[in-house]
Amino acid sequence: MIKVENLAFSYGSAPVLQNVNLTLEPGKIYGLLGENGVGKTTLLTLLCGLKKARQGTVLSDGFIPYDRLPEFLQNQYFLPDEVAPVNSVAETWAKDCGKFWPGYDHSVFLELLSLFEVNPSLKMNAMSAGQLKKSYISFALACRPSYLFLDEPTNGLDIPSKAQFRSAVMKYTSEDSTIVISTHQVRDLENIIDPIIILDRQDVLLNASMEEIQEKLFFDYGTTLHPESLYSEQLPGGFIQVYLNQGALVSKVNIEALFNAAHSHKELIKGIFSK
Amino acid sequence: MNKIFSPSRFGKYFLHDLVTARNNFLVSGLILGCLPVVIFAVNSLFNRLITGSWTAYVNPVNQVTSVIVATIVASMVFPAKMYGSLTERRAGSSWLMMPASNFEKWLSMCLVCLLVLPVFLGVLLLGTDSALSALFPMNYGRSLVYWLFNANSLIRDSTGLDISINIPAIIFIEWAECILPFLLGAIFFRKSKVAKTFLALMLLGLVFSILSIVFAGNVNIDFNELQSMADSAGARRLIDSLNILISAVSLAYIAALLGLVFLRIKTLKH
Repeated sequence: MIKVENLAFSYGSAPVLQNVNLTLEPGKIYGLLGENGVGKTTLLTLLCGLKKARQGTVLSDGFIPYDRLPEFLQNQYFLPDEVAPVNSVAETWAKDCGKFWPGYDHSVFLELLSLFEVNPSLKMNAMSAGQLKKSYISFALACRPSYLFLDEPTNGLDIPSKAQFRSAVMKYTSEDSTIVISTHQVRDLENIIDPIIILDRQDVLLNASMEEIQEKLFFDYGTTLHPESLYSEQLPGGFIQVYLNQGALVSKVNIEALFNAAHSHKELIKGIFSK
Repeated sequence: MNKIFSPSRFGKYFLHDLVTARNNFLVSGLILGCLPVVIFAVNSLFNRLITGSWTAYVNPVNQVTSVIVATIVASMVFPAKMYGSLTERRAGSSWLMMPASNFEKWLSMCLVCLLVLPVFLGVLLLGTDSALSALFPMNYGRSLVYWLFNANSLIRDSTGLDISINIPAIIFIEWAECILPFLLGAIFFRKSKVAKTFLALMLLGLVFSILSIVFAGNVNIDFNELQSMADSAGARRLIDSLNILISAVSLAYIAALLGLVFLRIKTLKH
Protein backbone atom coordinates (compact mmCIF):
# COMPACT_ATOMS: atom_id res chain seq x y z
CA MET A 1 0.00 0.00 0.00
CA ILE A 2 1.21 3.50 -0.80
CA LYS A 3 0.36 6.28 1.62
CA VAL A 4 0.85 9.88 0.61
CA GLU A 5 0.42 12.49 3.33
CA ASN A 6 0.56 16.26 2.96
CA LEU A 7 2.84 15.91 -0.02
CA ALA A 8 4.20 19.11 -1.51
CA PHE A 9 6.56 19.62 -4.42
CA SER A 10 7.70 22.62 -6.39
CA TYR A 11 10.01 23.38 -9.29
CA GLY A 12 12.02 26.29 -7.95
CA SER A 13 9.49 28.75 -6.65
CA ALA A 14 6.62 27.35 -8.73
CA PRO A 15 4.53 24.96 -6.63
CA VAL A 16 3.22 21.92 -8.48
CA LEU A 17 1.71 19.80 -5.74
CA GLN A 18 0.49 21.03 -2.39
CA ASN A 19 -0.97 19.11 0.51
CA VAL A 20 -1.73 15.98 -1.51
CA ASN A 21 -3.18 13.09 0.48
CA LEU A 22 -3.76 9.71 -1.15
CA THR A 23 -3.88 6.03 -0.37
CA LEU A 24 -3.20 3.58 -3.17
CA GLU A 25 -4.44 0.10 -2.40
CA PRO A 26 -3.34 -3.26 -3.78
CA GLY A 27 -5.32 -4.90 -6.57
CA LYS A 28 -6.44 -1.70 -8.24
CA ILE A 29 -5.68 0.04 -11.50
CA TYR A 30 -5.68 3.75 -10.78
CA GLY A 31 -6.26 6.20 -13.60
CA LEU A 32 -4.40 9.42 -12.91
CA LEU A 33 -5.98 12.24 -14.87
CA GLY A 34 -5.42 15.95 -15.05
CA GLU A 35 -4.78 18.86 -17.35
CA ASN A 36 -1.32 19.54 -18.76
CA GLY A 37 1.08 20.74 -16.10
CA VAL A 38 -0.95 19.80 -13.02
CA GLY A 39 1.77 17.42 -11.84
CA LYS A 40 0.71 13.92 -12.94
CA THR A 41 4.20 12.90 -14.01
CA THR A 42 5.66 14.67 -11.00
CA LEU A 43 3.38 12.66 -8.71
CA LEU A 44 4.34 9.41 -10.45
CA THR A 45 8.04 10.19 -10.15
CA LEU A 46 7.59 11.03 -6.47
CA LEU A 47 5.79 7.72 -5.90
CA CYS A 48 8.54 5.69 -7.53
CA GLY A 49 11.49 7.58 -6.02
CA LEU A 50 12.80 9.57 -8.94
CA LYS A 51 12.14 12.79 -7.06
CA LYS A 52 12.36 13.83 -3.45
CA ALA A 53 9.32 15.26 -1.69
CA ARG A 54 9.90 18.79 -0.44
CA GLN A 55 7.27 18.39 2.26
CA GLY A 56 5.11 15.58 3.53
CA THR A 57 5.69 11.87 3.20
CA VAL A 58 5.35 9.09 0.66
CA LEU A 59 5.50 5.60 2.09
CA SER A 60 5.38 2.55 -0.12
CA ASP A 61 5.07 -0.62 1.99
CA GLY A 62 7.04 1.23 4.65
CA PHE A 63 9.81 2.32 2.25
CA ILE A 64 10.61 5.93 1.48
CA PRO A 65 10.78 5.78 -2.35
CA TYR A 66 13.58 8.35 -2.70
CA ASP A 67 15.92 6.10 -0.67
CA ARG A 68 15.81 3.86 -3.75
CA LEU A 69 16.68 0.73 -1.81
CA PRO A 70 17.01 -2.41 -3.97
CA GLU A 71 14.28 -4.27 -2.05
CA PHE A 72 11.91 -1.43 -2.85
CA LEU A 73 12.99 -1.02 -6.48
CA GLN A 74 12.65 -4.71 -7.29
CA ASN A 75 8.94 -4.55 -6.46
CA GLN A 76 8.09 -1.74 -8.80
CA TYR A 77 8.51 -0.61 -12.38
CA PHE A 78 8.21 2.90 -13.74
CA LEU A 79 7.56 3.34 -17.44
CA PRO A 80 8.13 6.94 -18.54
CA ASP A 81 6.14 8.52 -21.37
CA GLU A 82 9.25 8.52 -23.56
CA VAL A 83 11.59 5.57 -23.46
CA ALA A 84 15.27 5.34 -24.33
CA PRO A 85 16.49 3.43 -27.37
CA VAL A 86 19.15 1.02 -26.15
CA ASN A 87 22.01 -0.27 -28.25
CA SER A 88 20.97 -3.88 -27.74
CA VAL A 89 18.70 -6.57 -29.14
CA ALA A 90 15.34 -6.49 -27.34
CA GLU A 91 15.45 -10.10 -26.19
CA THR A 92 19.01 -9.86 -24.87
CA TRP A 93 18.30 -6.56 -23.16
CA ALA A 94 15.21 -7.94 -21.44
CA LYS A 95 17.00 -11.09 -20.31
CA ASP A 96 19.89 -9.02 -18.95
CA CYS A 97 17.73 -6.45 -17.13
CA GLY A 98 15.08 -8.96 -16.04
CA LYS A 99 17.58 -10.57 -13.64
CA PHE A 100 17.04 -7.67 -11.26
CA TRP A 101 13.29 -8.21 -10.84
CA PRO A 102 12.55 -11.43 -8.94
CA GLY A 103 9.18 -11.80 -10.65
CA TYR A 104 10.51 -11.39 -14.19
CA ASP A 105 9.27 -14.03 -16.60
CA HIS A 106 11.07 -14.08 -19.93
CA SER A 107 8.43 -16.23 -21.59
CA VAL A 108 5.83 -13.56 -20.73
CA PHE A 109 8.07 -10.92 -22.32
CA LEU A 110 8.32 -12.95 -25.53
CA GLU A 111 4.61 -13.73 -25.46
CA LEU A 112 3.78 -10.04 -25.13
CA LEU A 113 6.17 -9.04 -27.90
CA SER A 114 4.54 -11.57 -30.16
CA LEU A 115 1.10 -10.19 -29.16
CA PHE A 116 2.33 -6.71 -30.08
CA GLU A 117 3.91 -8.11 -33.25
CA VAL A 118 7.40 -6.88 -32.40
CA ASN A 119 10.37 -8.97 -33.45
CA PRO A 120 12.43 -9.73 -30.29
CA SER A 121 15.64 -10.01 -32.29
CA LEU A 122 15.41 -6.38 -33.43
CA LYS A 123 17.93 -3.92 -32.04
CA MET A 124 16.10 -1.45 -29.83
CA ASN A 125 17.82 1.57 -31.32
CA ALA A 126 16.60 0.48 -34.75
CA MET A 127 12.96 0.21 -33.65
CA SER A 128 10.22 2.72 -34.38
CA ALA A 129 8.92 4.75 -31.41
CA GLY A 130 5.84 2.52 -31.20
CA GLN A 131 7.83 -0.72 -31.31
CA LEU A 132 10.18 0.59 -28.65
CA LYS A 133 7.27 1.55 -26.42
CA LYS A 134 5.73 -1.90 -26.89
CA SER A 135 9.04 -3.54 -25.94
CA TYR A 136 9.20 -1.51 -22.73
CA ILE A 137 5.53 -2.21 -21.95
CA SER A 138 6.17 -5.93 -22.47
CA PHE A 139 9.18 -5.76 -20.17
CA ALA A 140 7.29 -3.80 -17.51
CA LEU A 141 4.49 -6.37 -17.47
CA ALA A 142 6.90 -9.32 -17.59
CA CYS A 143 8.61 -8.02 -14.44
CA ARG A 144 5.31 -8.62 -12.60
CA PRO A 145 5.99 -5.92 -10.02
CA SER A 146 3.74 -5.14 -7.08
CA TYR A 147 3.67 -1.50 -8.17
CA LEU A 148 3.52 -0.49 -11.79
CA PHE A 149 3.64 3.18 -12.72
CA LEU A 150 2.81 3.90 -16.35
CA ASP A 151 3.09 7.41 -17.72
CA GLU A 152 1.04 7.85 -20.90
CA PRO A 153 1.49 4.19 -21.89
CA THR A 154 -0.75 4.34 -24.96
CA ASN A 155 0.94 7.38 -26.51
CA GLY A 156 2.53 6.32 -29.77
CA LEU A 157 0.67 3.01 -29.94
CA ASP A 158 -1.37 2.16 -33.03
CA ILE A 159 -5.08 1.33 -32.71
CA PRO A 160 -4.79 -2.49 -32.47
CA SER A 161 -1.96 -2.14 -29.97
CA LYS A 162 -4.14 -0.09 -27.63
CA ALA A 163 -6.61 -2.96 -27.38
CA GLN A 164 -3.71 -5.42 -26.98
CA PHE A 165 -2.30 -3.23 -24.24
CA ARG A 166 -5.61 -3.32 -22.35
CA SER A 167 -5.87 -7.07 -22.55
CA ALA A 168 -2.20 -7.49 -21.61
CA VAL A 169 -2.65 -5.35 -18.50
CA MET A 170 -5.67 -7.40 -17.46
CA LYS A 171 -4.00 -10.74 -18.21
CA TYR A 172 -0.44 -10.26 -17.01
CA THR A 173 -0.76 -8.26 -13.81
CA SER A 174 -1.36 -10.09 -10.59
CA GLU A 175 -4.49 -9.48 -8.60
CA ASP A 176 -2.70 -7.83 -5.71
CA SER A 177 -0.56 -5.41 -7.71
CA THR A 178 -1.17 -1.68 -7.72
CA ILE A 179 -1.10 -0.03 -11.11
CA VAL A 180 -1.12 3.71 -11.60
CA ILE A 181 -1.69 4.90 -15.16
CA SER A 182 -1.29 8.56 -15.94
CA THR A 183 -3.04 9.42 -19.16
CA HIS A 184 -4.81 11.94 -21.34
CA GLN A 185 -6.10 9.14 -23.58
CA VAL A 186 -8.98 8.21 -21.29
CA ARG A 187 -10.93 6.46 -24.04
CA ASP A 188 -8.03 4.05 -24.53
CA LEU A 189 -8.20 2.93 -20.94
CA GLU A 190 -11.81 3.62 -19.97
CA ASN A 191 -12.64 -0.03 -19.40
CA ILE A 192 -9.70 -0.95 -17.22
CA ILE A 193 -9.09 1.97 -14.86
CA ASP A 194 -10.83 1.98 -11.50
CA PRO A 195 -10.52 4.06 -9.28
CA ILE A 196 -9.99 7.45 -10.87
CA ILE A 197 -7.81 10.20 -9.49
CA ILE A 198 -8.23 13.66 -10.96
CA LEU A 199 -5.46 16.08 -10.12
CA ASP A 200 -6.19 19.75 -10.15
CA ARG A 201 -3.71 22.61 -9.81
CA GLN A 202 -1.64 21.44 -6.84
CA ASP A 203 -4.42 19.33 -5.34
CA VAL A 204 -6.48 16.14 -5.70
CA LEU A 205 -9.89 17.01 -7.08
CA LEU A 206 -11.33 13.53 -7.00
CA ASN A 207 -10.19 10.09 -5.88
CA ALA A 208 -13.04 7.64 -6.21
CA SER A 209 -13.93 4.20 -7.47
CA MET A 210 -16.24 3.73 -10.44
CA GLU A 211 -18.88 2.42 -8.04
CA GLU A 212 -18.73 5.61 -5.95
CA ILE A 213 -18.83 7.76 -9.08
CA GLN A 214 -21.88 5.87 -10.39
CA GLU A 215 -23.50 6.24 -6.98
CA LYS A 216 -23.02 9.99 -6.85
CA LEU A 217 -23.23 11.03 -10.47
CA PHE A 218 -25.54 10.08 -13.30
CA PHE A 219 -24.36 9.97 -16.89
CA ASP A 220 -27.22 10.57 -19.28
CA TYR A 221 -26.83 9.58 -22.93
CA GLY A 222 -30.29 10.88 -23.95
CA THR A 223 -31.46 13.25 -26.62
CA THR A 224 -32.98 15.95 -24.40
CA LEU A 225 -30.77 18.69 -23.08
CA HIS A 226 -31.22 19.42 -19.34
CA PRO A 227 -30.06 22.86 -18.22
CA GLU A 228 -29.44 21.65 -14.66
CA SER A 229 -26.71 19.22 -15.75
CA LEU A 230 -23.19 19.74 -14.41
CA TYR A 231 -21.77 19.14 -17.84
CA SER A 232 -23.25 18.56 -21.25
CA GLU A 233 -21.73 17.86 -24.63
CA GLN A 234 -23.43 17.27 -27.93
CA LEU A 235 -22.64 13.95 -29.54
CA PRO A 236 -23.85 12.60 -32.86
CA GLY A 237 -27.46 11.58 -32.16
CA GLY A 238 -27.80 13.11 -28.69
CA PHE A 239 -26.00 14.41 -25.66
CA ILE A 240 -23.80 13.20 -22.87
CA GLN A 241 -24.81 14.94 -19.68
CA VAL A 242 -23.67 14.59 -16.08
CA TYR A 243 -26.02 15.20 -13.14
CA LEU A 244 -25.91 14.58 -9.44
CA ASN A 245 -27.41 11.12 -8.98
CA GLN A 246 -30.36 11.75 -6.73
CA GLY A 247 -32.50 8.77 -7.64
CA ALA A 248 -30.00 5.89 -7.21
CA LEU A 249 -29.92 5.50 -10.98
CA VAL A 250 -27.36 3.28 -12.66
CA SER A 251 -25.33 4.56 -15.61
CA LYS A 252 -22.07 3.90 -17.41
CA VAL A 253 -19.34 6.35 -16.40
CA ASN A 254 -17.97 8.46 -19.24
CA ILE A 255 -14.54 9.50 -18.00
CA GLU A 256 -14.15 12.46 -20.33
CA ALA A 257 -17.53 13.85 -19.25
CA LEU A 258 -16.64 13.17 -15.61
CA PHE A 259 -13.35 15.01 -16.03
CA ASN A 260 -15.03 18.02 -17.63
CA ALA A 261 -17.82 18.06 -15.04
CA ALA A 262 -15.25 17.93 -12.25
CA HIS A 263 -13.34 20.81 -13.80
CA SER A 264 -16.32 23.05 -14.24
CA HIS A 265 -17.67 22.36 -10.71
CA LYS A 266 -14.52 21.82 -8.67
CA GLU A 267 -15.83 22.67 -5.21
CA LEU A 268 -19.09 20.78 -5.68
CA ILE A 269 -17.31 17.63 -6.90
CA LYS A 270 -14.71 17.88 -4.15
CA GLY A 271 -17.48 18.29 -1.62
CA ILE A 272 -19.60 15.32 -2.70
CA PHE A 273 -16.65 12.95 -3.00
CA SER A 274 -14.96 13.93 0.24
CA LYS A 275 -18.02 12.92 2.27
CA MET B 1 24.02 -4.82 4.90
CA ASN B 2 21.98 -6.40 2.11
CA LYS B 3 20.34 -3.01 1.53
CA ILE B 4 23.70 -1.47 0.63
CA PHE B 5 25.71 -4.36 -0.74
CA SER B 6 24.87 -7.88 -1.74
CA PRO B 7 27.65 -9.77 -3.55
CA SER B 8 25.27 -11.66 -5.85
CA ARG B 9 23.29 -8.54 -6.77
CA PHE B 10 26.49 -6.60 -7.29
CA GLY B 11 27.84 -9.38 -9.49
CA LYS B 12 24.73 -9.21 -11.66
CA TYR B 13 24.88 -5.44 -11.81
CA PHE B 14 28.59 -5.35 -12.65
CA LEU B 15 28.02 -7.85 -15.44
CA HIS B 16 25.15 -5.71 -16.73
CA ASP B 17 27.44 -2.66 -16.63
CA LEU B 18 30.10 -4.55 -18.56
CA VAL B 19 27.59 -5.56 -21.22
CA THR B 20 26.46 -1.92 -21.50
CA ALA B 21 30.11 -0.81 -21.76
CA ARG B 22 30.68 -3.37 -24.51
CA ASN B 23 27.62 -2.15 -26.41
CA ASN B 24 28.53 1.52 -26.04
CA PHE B 25 32.29 1.60 -26.29
CA LEU B 26 33.72 -1.54 -27.89
CA VAL B 27 34.07 -0.11 -31.40
CA SER B 28 35.48 3.24 -30.19
CA GLY B 29 37.81 1.37 -27.82
CA LEU B 30 39.10 -0.87 -30.60
CA ILE B 31 39.74 2.15 -32.81
CA LEU B 32 41.63 3.90 -30.01
CA GLY B 33 43.55 0.71 -29.25
CA CYS B 34 44.77 0.60 -32.83
CA LEU B 35 46.15 4.14 -32.66
CA PRO B 36 49.80 2.96 -32.71
CA VAL B 37 49.06 1.19 -36.01
CA VAL B 38 47.43 4.33 -37.42
CA ILE B 39 50.34 6.51 -36.34
CA PHE B 40 52.86 4.05 -37.76
CA ALA B 41 50.94 3.87 -41.04
CA VAL B 42 50.67 7.67 -41.30
CA ASN B 43 54.36 7.96 -40.48
CA SER B 44 55.23 5.47 -43.22
CA LEU B 45 52.93 7.21 -45.70
CA PHE B 46 54.51 10.62 -45.08
CA ASN B 47 57.92 9.06 -45.28
CA ARG B 48 56.99 7.57 -48.65
CA LEU B 49 55.70 10.95 -49.88
CA ILE B 50 58.75 12.87 -48.71
CA THR B 51 61.65 10.47 -49.17
CA GLY B 52 60.15 7.97 -51.57
CA SER B 53 60.81 5.12 -49.14
CA TRP B 54 58.31 3.19 -47.02
CA THR B 55 60.91 2.72 -44.31
CA ALA B 56 59.77 5.02 -41.51
CA TYR B 57 61.41 5.00 -38.12
CA VAL B 58 59.34 5.32 -34.97
CA ASN B 59 61.13 6.42 -31.84
CA PRO B 60 59.97 5.74 -28.27
CA VAL B 61 58.65 9.34 -28.03
CA ASN B 62 56.22 8.63 -30.90
CA GLN B 63 55.19 5.39 -29.26
CA VAL B 64 54.54 7.00 -25.88
CA THR B 65 52.74 9.93 -27.52
CA SER B 66 50.31 7.66 -29.35
CA VAL B 67 49.55 5.76 -26.14
CA ILE B 68 49.09 9.00 -24.17
CA VAL B 69 46.82 10.48 -26.85
CA ALA B 70 44.69 7.31 -26.92
CA THR B 71 44.37 7.19 -23.13
CA ILE B 72 43.55 10.91 -22.82
CA VAL B 73 40.88 10.65 -25.54
CA ALA B 74 39.45 7.52 -23.89
CA SER B 75 39.38 9.12 -20.46
CA MET B 76 37.55 12.14 -21.84
CA VAL B 77 35.09 10.33 -24.10
CA PHE B 78 34.32 7.06 -22.31
CA PRO B 79 32.51 8.45 -19.21
CA ALA B 80 30.20 10.59 -21.37
CA LYS B 81 29.51 7.71 -23.76
CA MET B 82 28.89 5.22 -20.98
CA TYR B 83 27.20 7.25 -18.24
CA GLY B 84 26.32 10.54 -19.95
CA SER B 85 22.72 9.46 -20.50
CA LEU B 86 22.12 9.38 -16.74
CA THR B 87 21.29 13.07 -16.79
CA GLU B 88 18.80 12.51 -19.59
CA ARG B 89 15.27 11.77 -18.35
CA ARG B 90 14.50 8.69 -20.46
CA ALA B 91 17.67 6.69 -19.93
CA GLY B 92 18.41 8.22 -16.52
CA SER B 93 15.06 7.10 -15.09
CA SER B 94 15.68 3.50 -16.18
CA TRP B 95 19.15 3.56 -14.67
CA LEU B 96 17.98 4.98 -11.35
CA MET B 97 15.12 2.48 -11.16
CA MET B 98 17.39 -0.55 -11.65
CA PRO B 99 17.10 -2.61 -8.46
CA ALA B 100 20.64 -2.18 -7.17
CA SER B 101 21.83 0.11 -4.40
CA ASN B 102 23.46 3.47 -5.03
CA PHE B 103 26.66 2.04 -3.58
CA GLU B 104 26.62 -0.93 -5.95
CA LYS B 105 26.02 1.32 -8.94
CA TRP B 106 28.84 3.60 -7.82
CA LEU B 107 31.24 0.74 -7.16
CA SER B 108 30.51 -0.80 -10.54
CA MET B 109 31.03 2.58 -12.21
CA CYS B 110 34.37 2.97 -10.42
CA LEU B 111 35.52 -0.54 -11.33
CA VAL B 112 34.58 -0.08 -14.97
CA CYS B 113 36.32 3.31 -15.21
CA LEU B 114 39.34 2.65 -13.02
CA LEU B 115 40.05 -0.98 -13.74
CA VAL B 116 38.24 -2.50 -16.71
CA LEU B 117 38.72 0.35 -19.17
CA PRO B 118 42.46 0.96 -18.46
CA VAL B 119 43.18 -2.78 -18.56
CA PHE B 120 41.24 -3.14 -21.83
CA LEU B 121 42.96 -0.12 -23.37
CA GLY B 122 46.35 -1.05 -21.95
CA VAL B 123 46.16 -4.58 -23.35
CA LEU B 124 45.05 -3.27 -26.75
CA LEU B 125 47.60 -0.47 -26.97
CA LEU B 126 50.52 -2.49 -25.68
CA GLY B 127 49.35 -5.44 -27.76
CA THR B 128 49.30 -3.49 -31.02
CA ASP B 129 52.56 -1.80 -30.06
CA SER B 130 54.21 -5.17 -29.36
CA ALA B 131 52.78 -6.61 -32.58
CA LEU B 132 54.24 -3.71 -34.57
CA SER B 133 57.54 -4.13 -32.81
CA ALA B 134 57.59 -7.84 -33.62
CA LEU B 135 56.54 -7.32 -37.25
CA PHE B 136 58.82 -4.37 -37.99
CA PRO B 137 61.73 -4.70 -35.55
CA MET B 138 64.05 -2.50 -37.60
CA ASN B 139 61.63 0.38 -38.19
CA TYR B 140 59.48 0.30 -35.10
CA GLY B 141 62.12 -0.50 -32.53
CA ARG B 142 61.52 -1.98 -29.14
CA SER B 143 58.04 -2.32 -27.77
CA LEU B 144 56.75 -0.17 -24.93
CA VAL B 145 56.52 -3.27 -22.77
CA TYR B 146 60.31 -3.48 -22.88
CA TRP B 147 60.66 0.15 -21.78
CA LEU B 148 58.10 -0.32 -19.01
CA PHE B 149 59.85 -3.37 -17.56
CA ASN B 150 63.28 -1.80 -17.76
CA ALA B 151 62.42 1.79 -16.88
CA ASN B 152 64.04 1.76 -13.43
CA SER B 153 67.30 0.23 -14.58
CA LEU B 154 67.41 2.58 -17.59
CA ILE B 155 66.92 5.61 -15.31
CA ARG B 156 69.56 4.30 -12.91
CA ASP B 157 72.00 3.77 -15.79
CA SER B 158 71.44 7.17 -17.34
CA THR B 159 71.28 9.30 -14.15
CA GLY B 160 73.40 7.32 -11.75
CA LEU B 161 70.72 7.88 -9.07
CA ASP B 162 69.59 4.90 -7.02
CA ILE B 163 65.90 5.50 -7.31
CA SER B 164 63.00 3.16 -7.87
CA ILE B 165 59.79 4.33 -9.50
CA ASN B 166 56.53 2.45 -8.94
CA ILE B 167 55.33 2.72 -12.52
CA PRO B 168 51.99 0.83 -12.17
CA ALA B 169 51.05 3.06 -9.22
CA ILE B 170 51.94 6.21 -11.16
CA ILE B 171 49.97 5.05 -14.20
CA PHE B 172 46.95 4.20 -12.02
CA ILE B 173 47.02 7.54 -10.18
CA GLU B 174 47.47 9.52 -13.40
CA TRP B 175 44.64 7.60 -15.06
CA ALA B 176 42.31 8.12 -12.10
CA GLU B 177 43.14 11.83 -11.99
CA CYS B 178 42.42 12.04 -15.68
CA ILE B 179 39.17 10.05 -15.96
CA LEU B 180 37.39 10.90 -12.69
CA PRO B 181 36.79 14.61 -13.45
CA PHE B 182 35.27 13.56 -16.78
CA LEU B 183 33.15 10.92 -15.06
CA LEU B 184 31.86 13.54 -12.66
CA GLY B 185 31.28 15.93 -15.55
CA ALA B 186 29.41 13.22 -17.47
CA ILE B 187 26.90 12.71 -14.67
CA PHE B 188 26.80 16.35 -13.56
CA PHE B 189 26.40 18.40 -16.73
CA ARG B 190 23.33 17.85 -18.87
CA LYS B 191 24.86 18.98 -22.18
CA SER B 192 28.35 19.51 -23.66
CA LYS B 193 29.74 17.32 -20.91
CA VAL B 194 33.34 17.03 -22.14
CA ALA B 195 33.68 20.72 -23.06
CA LYS B 196 32.16 21.91 -19.79
CA THR B 197 34.36 19.56 -17.74
CA PHE B 198 37.37 20.80 -19.65
CA LEU B 199 36.40 24.40 -18.93
CA ALA B 200 35.76 23.64 -15.26
CA LEU B 201 39.18 21.98 -14.99
CA MET B 202 40.84 24.98 -16.61
CA LEU B 203 39.08 27.34 -14.22
CA LEU B 204 40.04 25.22 -11.22
CA GLY B 205 43.62 25.05 -12.49
CA LEU B 206 43.68 28.83 -12.77
CA VAL B 207 42.32 29.31 -9.26
CA PHE B 208 44.83 26.84 -7.79
CA SER B 209 47.69 28.43 -9.69
CA ILE B 210 46.80 31.85 -8.29
CA LEU B 211 46.48 30.40 -4.78
CA SER B 212 49.84 28.63 -5.16
CA ILE B 213 51.51 31.85 -6.29
CA VAL B 214 50.01 33.75 -3.36
CA PHE B 215 51.08 30.95 -0.98
CA ALA B 216 54.60 30.75 -2.43
CA GLY B 217 54.94 34.51 -2.17
CA ASN B 218 54.21 34.37 1.54
CA VAL B 219 56.65 31.56 2.31
CA ASN B 220 60.28 32.37 2.86
CA ILE B 221 62.30 29.79 0.99
CA ASP B 222 65.97 29.77 1.73
CA PHE B 223 67.42 28.71 -1.61
CA ASN B 224 70.92 28.53 -0.13
CA GLU B 225 69.68 26.02 2.39
CA LEU B 226 67.97 24.05 -0.37
CA GLN B 227 71.22 24.08 -2.33
CA SER B 228 73.12 22.78 0.67
CA MET B 229 70.48 20.08 1.20
CA ALA B 230 70.85 18.97 -2.39
CA ASP B 231 74.48 18.37 -1.79
CA SER B 232 73.95 16.26 1.28
CA ALA B 233 71.92 13.31 2.54
CA GLY B 234 69.07 15.76 3.08
CA ALA B 235 68.33 15.57 -0.65
CA ARG B 236 66.98 12.07 -0.22
CA ARG B 237 64.78 13.23 2.67
CA LEU B 238 63.49 16.13 0.60
CA ILE B 239 62.64 13.88 -2.35
CA ASP B 240 60.87 11.41 -0.04
CA SER B 241 58.90 14.17 1.65
CA LEU B 242 57.87 15.66 -1.69
CA ASN B 243 56.87 12.20 -2.90
CA ILE B 244 54.68 11.67 0.13
CA LEU B 245 53.15 15.13 -0.24
CA ILE B 246 52.40 14.69 -3.95
CA SER B 247 50.98 11.20 -3.39
CA ALA B 248 48.82 12.45 -0.51
CA VAL B 249 47.48 15.35 -2.59
CA SER B 250 46.77 13.00 -5.52
CA LEU B 251 45.00 10.46 -3.34
CA ALA B 252 42.96 13.18 -1.61
CA TYR B 253 41.97 14.55 -5.03
CA ILE B 254 40.91 11.08 -6.23
CA ALA B 255 39.00 10.40 -3.00
CA ALA B 256 37.20 13.75 -3.29
CA LEU B 257 36.20 13.02 -6.88
CA LEU B 258 34.97 9.54 -5.98
CA GLY B 259 32.96 11.04 -3.12
CA LEU B 260 31.42 13.65 -5.42
CA VAL B 261 30.49 10.95 -7.98
CA PHE B 262 28.72 8.97 -5.23
CA LEU B 263 26.93 12.07 -3.97
CA ARG B 264 25.75 12.88 -7.48
CA ILE B 265 24.39 9.34 -7.98
CA LYS B 266 22.61 9.49 -4.63
CA THR B 267 20.97 12.83 -5.32
CA LEU B 268 20.20 12.42 -9.02
CA LYS B 269 16.53 13.17 -9.73
CA HIS B 270 14.32 13.00 -12.79
